[in-house]
Amino acid sequence: MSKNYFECKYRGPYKGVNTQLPEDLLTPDYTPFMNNFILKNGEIRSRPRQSLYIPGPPDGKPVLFITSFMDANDVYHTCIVTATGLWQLNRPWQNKPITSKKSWSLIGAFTEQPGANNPAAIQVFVNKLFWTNGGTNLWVWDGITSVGAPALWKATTAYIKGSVVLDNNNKVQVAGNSGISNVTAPVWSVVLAGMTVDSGTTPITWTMNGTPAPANGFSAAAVVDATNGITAGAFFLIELNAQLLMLNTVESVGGNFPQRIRWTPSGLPTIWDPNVNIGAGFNDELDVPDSILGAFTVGTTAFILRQNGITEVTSTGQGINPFNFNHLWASDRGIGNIFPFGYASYGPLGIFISSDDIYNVSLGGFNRIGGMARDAIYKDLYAAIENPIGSIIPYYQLNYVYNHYKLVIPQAGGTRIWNYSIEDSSWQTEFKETTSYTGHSRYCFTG
Amino acid sequence: MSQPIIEPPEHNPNPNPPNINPNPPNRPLGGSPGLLTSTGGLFGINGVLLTPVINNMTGKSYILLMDSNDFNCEESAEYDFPQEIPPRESPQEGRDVNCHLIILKYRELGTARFNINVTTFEKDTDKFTTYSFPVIITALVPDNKIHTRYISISVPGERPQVSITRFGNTGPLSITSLTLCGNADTVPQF
Repeated sequence: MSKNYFECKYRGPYKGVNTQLPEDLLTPDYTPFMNNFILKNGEIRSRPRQSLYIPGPPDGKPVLFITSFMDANDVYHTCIVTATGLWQLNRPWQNKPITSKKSWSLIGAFTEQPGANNPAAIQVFVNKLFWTNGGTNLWVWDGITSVGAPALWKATTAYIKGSVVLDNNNKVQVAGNSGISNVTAPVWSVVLAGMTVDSGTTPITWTMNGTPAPANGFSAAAVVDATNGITAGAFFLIELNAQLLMLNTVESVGGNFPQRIRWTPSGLPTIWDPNVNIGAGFNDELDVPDSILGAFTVGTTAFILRQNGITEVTSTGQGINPFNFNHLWASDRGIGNIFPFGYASYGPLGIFISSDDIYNVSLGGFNRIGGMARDAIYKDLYAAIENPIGSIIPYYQLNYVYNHYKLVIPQAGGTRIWNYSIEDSSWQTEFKETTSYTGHSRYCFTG
Repeated sequence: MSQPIIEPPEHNPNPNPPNINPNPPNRPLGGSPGLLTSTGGLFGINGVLLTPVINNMTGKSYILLMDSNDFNCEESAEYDFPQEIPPRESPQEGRDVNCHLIILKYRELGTARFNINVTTFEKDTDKFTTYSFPVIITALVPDNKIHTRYISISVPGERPQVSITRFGNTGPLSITSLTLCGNADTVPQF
């Protein structure tokens, strides 16, 4: 039987996953299945290595966000928050051995339950870090307020009488005299008021002073009714027109208001009571049937994401009614955002997941982007065991620009990750075994 | 994100002056606004992409690094190319093929081990069979250039489909192109 020679060539640019056609009808630049490869610059490359970089905080609790911000002194802080409180990355954290206690300082502990364990909403505004995660408070740290937690003990270091350090048992030790610490850590007394001799060049006698008191270096910022002492937090937090907005609020009286939006006066992010400053205020979106499940800002316009609709928010320039709320559509069924933490925004672009497709939104309008991978993505969303989390990541580091929307979907056995290359409009998948993502991916400073 | 703006007095409904002045007198640009010093902090020079995660086995939380300087993915990886019905320009169903060569072009990023697999359909058994061909790239000092590897194979069957598989931690892999060569019957086998 005669045969004909053939060649099947595969070369970039590759277009990612296509599950909308049978695998024998695909063009060569599509793939019916891929995992842990990245398609970029016309190459099929194993994805960047993901490895343990910084230990978690000493309390061992889930980290609800990680972010860096610059304070009023132009100093950067990389912070995380857990159910315990706010932690800051210490400057010498990379000195070996890298430990949890050495890496993180507790800026302050929550004085009351901060909220459910979901990704916290964060916003940096006038050199301060604001965050809230479904509790009855909005929290703020300026990067300047003193830390209540003492520093870790260091070898071969001069200490003056009265110095307070944290030993490797997480207990406070107070220096009884001035001296220089040893090259190795002493065996610390674990008894309250117990003495430990630190046999350095000039020995120091330390006294154990118990566990450190919970510090409260940050503060609650949202008293929405100063007369009655009512505070509020929220699930979503954005900045628009130099004003801070909380959406889907949780208030100390009345509980959850899923249709409520509160805002501060211009440039005053810690005033939320309209009786204190008439520039503050609130609005209940009672003219739409659904609740708020997200929000992001695009320039001078914000988009409030509802389950079945989108509300466009623009500034009016008026003090008492600073915002105009325009429901692009108000129906009991429609394009909206169905996953409260699955949306993300970056500059002029926002991406959210509706019940029929994934959309990007900008001032130019809406576009479907689920494309040829939509059905596979929705199959994974159907199998989600917790809330998916979305992030837009412009680059891993400046040497690897890869502008993409990363959708992480917790599943049994690990996390399915869908990356949408914004430049190539292609979907690519990853899977990370035995791991759950607890917050958004962020480019952070580490030194 | 817009910068904070302090509105001029005629537009500011706030009877109290704002307590934040971005440019107070005598403050050098970029300097300290007062005697208060920052609590800890970083220089803001080195940065990486970080993600907070939990290990589901140990229950411990940690911060994950996405390291764009290292493409030795720690997880197993797979890339499947489409099924082929040669010739591409006018696919002819039902033809058996015999694939005999794969031409692989890759960028040398380091030592790597992986498999090139060809899966075909067998009419007689109504089953798919996968033929795996291990490939080892040895590059202790990678030159970051595109290399070519010719891999002889012998794969019979119908509708060949090429895939790349690798186990975790088996080296960085970057494929620029792949060509599957073979012969197809000129008439269908039915």
